[in-house]
Amino acid sequence: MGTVNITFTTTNNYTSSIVSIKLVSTLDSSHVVNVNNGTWNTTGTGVSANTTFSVRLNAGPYKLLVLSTPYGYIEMNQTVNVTLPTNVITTAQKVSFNGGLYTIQASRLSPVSYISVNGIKGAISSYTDYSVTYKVPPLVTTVTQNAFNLA
Amino acid sequence: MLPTSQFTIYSDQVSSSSASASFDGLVNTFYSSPNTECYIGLDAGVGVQASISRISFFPSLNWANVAQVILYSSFQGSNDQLKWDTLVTVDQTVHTGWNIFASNNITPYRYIRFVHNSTSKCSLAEIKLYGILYSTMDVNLSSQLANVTYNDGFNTKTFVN
Repeated sequence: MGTVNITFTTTNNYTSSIVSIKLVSTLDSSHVVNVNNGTWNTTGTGVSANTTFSVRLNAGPYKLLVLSTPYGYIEMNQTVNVTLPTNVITTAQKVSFNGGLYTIQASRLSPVSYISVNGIKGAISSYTDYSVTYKVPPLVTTVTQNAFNLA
Repeated sequence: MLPTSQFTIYSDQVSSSSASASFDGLVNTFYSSPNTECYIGLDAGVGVQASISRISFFPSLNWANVAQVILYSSFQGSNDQLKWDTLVTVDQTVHTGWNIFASNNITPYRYIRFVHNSTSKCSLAEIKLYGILYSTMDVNLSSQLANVTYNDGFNTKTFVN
């Protein structure tokens, strides 16, 4: 939880209004968090305009995207980075050489996050607000491949 | 197919971001190099190697006669970026649209690249690799402890086992 101040500087005197506000994950642009319509509040006008809103974000980096009329999308240069929660719980978990599942318990981990085991990435298998289970990739080495033909 | 997300994309233009155009799933975007010798490839990362069984690629839509442009270009593999071994040599069968070539060499390599010259500018619209990702770590078959690293694009946390 925290507050981020983002400043856009106007370069003209035209008036525009905000149609939508969204935050897009820079890791995977398919993860978009929309700010509920009408929940933002704008005070002042022109160069003094100040818009505030509240949104719950998962851990990870985001870009702010504001759709305005009549000038279209405005994207900020800076990135909003949300740090990991402090209540991360994980234990040693057994999987086979052919892979398996690995669960991390924490609130609001990123739904587009991944794990790496032995340098190989594993994607999310299932996700809740409090727990994320990832696929552990097979441990394919020359030894395991000769023994088990893992892939 | 090996997931591109597993790799880091690189090319002969160090600061170019257009290299990702050859791996974005869009056949109307492509890499283009201004250099005399060009290359575009994938790095599997430290401790990971890819054994390539076949390679498919989609040449630039701007080439009317594909063979005239990339005949005898090649895909290569390396573990040190100094010594490169040939996986595939593009022959006369190359054509517009998707091409599939079987690899002549299934040795696992960390670096896989397409290499050619200014005739083609390495303008491949898409490249897909097929094969197996290998870990280079030493293992014994009774049990193997491994660390798990979480990554969300900003936070990285390693759980040591």
